[in-house]
Amino acid sequence: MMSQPPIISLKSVTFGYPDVRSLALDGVSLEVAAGEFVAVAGANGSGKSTLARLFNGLLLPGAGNVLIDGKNTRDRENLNHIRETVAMVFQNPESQIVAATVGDDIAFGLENLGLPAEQIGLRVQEAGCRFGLAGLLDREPHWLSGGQKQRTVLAGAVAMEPRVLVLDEPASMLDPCSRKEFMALVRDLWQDGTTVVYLSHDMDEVARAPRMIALSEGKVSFDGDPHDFFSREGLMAETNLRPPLAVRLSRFLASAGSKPPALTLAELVKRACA
Amino acid sequence: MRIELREAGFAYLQGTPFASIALAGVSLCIEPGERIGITGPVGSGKSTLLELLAGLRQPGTGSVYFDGLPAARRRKKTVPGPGRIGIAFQSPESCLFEKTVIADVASGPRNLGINEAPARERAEAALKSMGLDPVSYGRRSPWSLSTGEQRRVALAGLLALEPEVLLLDEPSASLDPAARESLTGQLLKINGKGVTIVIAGHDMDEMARFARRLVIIDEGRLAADGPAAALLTDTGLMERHGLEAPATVRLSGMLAQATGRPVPPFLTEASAASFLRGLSGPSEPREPRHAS
Amino acid sequence: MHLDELIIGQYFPGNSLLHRADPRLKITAVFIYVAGLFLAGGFAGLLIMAAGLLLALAQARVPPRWLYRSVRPVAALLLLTFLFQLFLHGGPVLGRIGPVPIYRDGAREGGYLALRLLLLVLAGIVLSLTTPPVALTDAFGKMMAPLAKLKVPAYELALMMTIALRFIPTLLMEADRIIKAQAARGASLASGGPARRARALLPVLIPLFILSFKDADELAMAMESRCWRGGKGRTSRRRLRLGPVDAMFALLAAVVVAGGVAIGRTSGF
Repeated sequence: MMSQPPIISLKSVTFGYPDVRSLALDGVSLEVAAGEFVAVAGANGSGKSTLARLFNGLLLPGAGNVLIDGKNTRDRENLNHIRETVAMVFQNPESQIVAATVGDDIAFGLENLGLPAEQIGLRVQEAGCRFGLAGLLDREPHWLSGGQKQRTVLAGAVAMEPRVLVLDEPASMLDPCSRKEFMALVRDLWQDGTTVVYLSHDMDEVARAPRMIALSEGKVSFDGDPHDFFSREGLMAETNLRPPLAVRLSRFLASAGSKPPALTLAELVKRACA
Repeated sequence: MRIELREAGFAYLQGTPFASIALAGVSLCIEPGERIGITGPVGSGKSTLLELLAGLRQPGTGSVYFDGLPAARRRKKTVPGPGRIGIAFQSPESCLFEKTVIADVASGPRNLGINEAPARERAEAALKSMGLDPVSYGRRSPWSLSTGEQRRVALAGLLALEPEVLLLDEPSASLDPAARESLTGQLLKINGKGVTIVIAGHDMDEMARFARRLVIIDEGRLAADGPAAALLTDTGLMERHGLEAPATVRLSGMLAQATGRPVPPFLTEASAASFLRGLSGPSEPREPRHAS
Repeated sequence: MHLDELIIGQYFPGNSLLHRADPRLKITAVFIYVAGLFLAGGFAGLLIMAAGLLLALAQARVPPRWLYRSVRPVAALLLLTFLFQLFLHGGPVLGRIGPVPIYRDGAREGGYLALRLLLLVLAGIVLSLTTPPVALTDAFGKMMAPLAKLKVPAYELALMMTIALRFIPTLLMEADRIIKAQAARGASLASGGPARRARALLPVLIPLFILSFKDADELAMAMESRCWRGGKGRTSRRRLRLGPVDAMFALLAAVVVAGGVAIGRTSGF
């Protein structure tokens, strides 16, 4: 496992938008191994969305290289393979649904791959069941709730059987219940072996990830265990990220100072009663 | 202004095979100066309710009263004119259209026939109460701002009309936590000056910080209406209506279960903190050092 | 002003013969029917074809109110056609409306042309009443597919139609929201002269343009991420196969059109 090359590898990547003086990304290097769950946290304007768009060649780096499964995104010949490997889900479900019904939309990517109709039908059914859309396949998107729309987008991405899912603030426009439901589906996909890169400012979710990367002003300011990040208050201030409630309350525990803070309420309660 | 709904109901696309009931028999009275949260599961009718309160839609059944006067069906004059009730839909920043921030904010008062100079003064005051400095922001293009700033400009555009009531549909949705908290703070200040504020939303942590009274709508019906502190700490009620109690309230439940003794429900972070401090004995907490 | 009504479109859900028939066949039938209307050349023919259409509507169980909702926008045009012809032709006087004489040929010609126009419009309406828009665009795409060989971008055109179909309700809802929000800020959209009105539309049009460009940009990214690379090598989830229902539909449609044309041409009426 360790000897395998990383599925995502960024080498001193720099990116700037025209007409903007400061760089959106400035010398970002990182690697993601197959099967990992990585949360990328950053306040609005930290460069998160730019980073997400580099992962499947929607944007190409100004300097440095992005390698997906060992293939450089600069090489146009690789793009098909790269986009089959890395699927994306963006923030606004409204603008990501291409087709006029749920079923047709889940099929959109599969049709692009040129799969035969029988196989498309099967995969649409399967994805529909997995994401709770089985009864809605003929529904038009404007009759769906926000949660259903975003599940449609996820189903369309997963139906293509990608190895990596990149999610850019996928749940920030959803209500809390739909958000929880959506993140549970994402965690299931990860358990089943999909590599997940989750970009968000929702610190409750970020704190639950096994590995987190913090971005601020286009630079990686932290890469490691969230427990480490949240025990360093200077880092939180520098990245302008607000710790979750459990972390904020941890300093009132008897164990404060001697142990890293609790990241979830369950952890906090366990510590408080120890 | 006092707004009252009596047995109000509303159905979309009535008389078509797509007809759907959004609200049924809702009675509700909003008194001047109140701070109300309206919540409920997705599709429960919250947004429709806001539109009825603003007089943008007429109820299909029942009636609306503005300051005790019934709003007659099909007669525009009985609905309070623009300016007295301000309404912001989700992502209000998408309605910005002027070249500069100050012109956009002043466009509301200008529409009401107020002259350039006083309209500008109102706009500057509105920007200030949304925490934006009119000198540094006024001349900028709305599209050069961050989403959080744009949203505050859009809300300032409503404030410049000097409304008596503000109806806001998910005002902090998709903002990052820091922007979210500062927005709640500004709304509290504006309410302190006597403006009635009604917020529709799903974020119970925000409701705990903002609302004094909470209204729960479920499947188009009024499910609960009472002091926010009482409803938000009633986890059974919250669950029945598909809502998640605020994190602090959930924490008290978890602590009660773990310790086996009753724990008072925390509505604020401070009360949770002082309880935890009590558990850990007399030792002083570490100095908070992270940015506020 | 509420745009809800526009969002639901024309389609009336059902499970009738007409609903189940292959959309390609239905589109073809409409074209043949319209050709038939022009070939029939007489009242008798039109009446038979009208009966066919009414029969189709009845078995599709489309309520008259719903049908009226679709026909209403062309009612003025029908009336105008009738009146124009009424005063254009002479012949014996049938009667008078006040001082205005009504001539037989005028009434006949006006009635004929108005009926033909009504049937022409109705044929299209029946198609959209009984076929979901998705099925229509899909059928158009499939019917145009052979044109791809002639370098006509058939897939891309079909996709454009689908996307338009997909985003019209979204844009209508966004427009509705923006109009209400600006109205709540005192913007009046319907007063003053044309120049003033055009200016008054800016607070709605500018946000709507910005939103649509943003949507378009995000949609393009979503499509690219999902391996869209043009119509080449693309397959389709929707398969259309002709079945017994279609044979029955084709037969009935043929009887109506052929009967109408034959009788219209032979009878002197």
